[in-house]
Amino acid sequence: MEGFDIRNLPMDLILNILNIVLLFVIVRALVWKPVKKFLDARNEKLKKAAESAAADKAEALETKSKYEALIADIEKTAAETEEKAKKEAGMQAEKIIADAEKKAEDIKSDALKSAEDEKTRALENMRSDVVDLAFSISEKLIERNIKDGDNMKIAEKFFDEHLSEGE
Amino acid sequence: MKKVVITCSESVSDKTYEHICRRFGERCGGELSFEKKVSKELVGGFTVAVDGRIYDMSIKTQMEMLKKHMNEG
Repeated sequence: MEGFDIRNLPMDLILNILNIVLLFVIVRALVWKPVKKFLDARNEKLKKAAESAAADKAEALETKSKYEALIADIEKTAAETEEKAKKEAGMQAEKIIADAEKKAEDIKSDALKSAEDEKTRALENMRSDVVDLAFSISEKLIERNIKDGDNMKIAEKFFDEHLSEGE
Repeated sequence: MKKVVITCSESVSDKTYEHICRRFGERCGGELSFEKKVSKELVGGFTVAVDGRIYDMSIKTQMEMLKKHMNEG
């Protein structure tokens, strides 16, 4: 081919090339930079939002972890308290039963003693009544059968026991 | 004069009463006046009240003492 000569190219093509170049420059100056700036700002904003979200998530996870530990601690304390309460209730129940058994035993013992005392009193009263009856009958028999000679003996006994000569 | 009050049971005869009075005179000496009372409650025997003292020789009292002793035993 012979040497390239730009003067041989058609004018339209040169103008088109110039248009494209000019367009490129204009677009680059007027559109590309603002758009890039906008996109950079948007990227920065997105980046900050992502960082903030990550920080929030981390904080949320930490809080969740803290509350989970707190709940575990509360559950443990509740279980221990329940265990202790059950144990104390068991001991209290045993004590109540023991007290009730002792009380029942005391009541039974008192009742037996009371019955025994009552029996003794009744026997004593019966004995006393029998003695009284026996003496009452004896008095009547003596009264019916006593002789004057008996009274004379009583009189002699009186003088021998109580009165000496000259008293 | 000393006053002697003799309370007799119904079974004490006049003879026994007079014997008691005579024996009193023999034992005590001095002038004595006697008063006789009769009590059915004595059962037998008698009581004598003289010089502010009472001598109880009644069957009733003897039996009361015996009954008391039996009840205490």
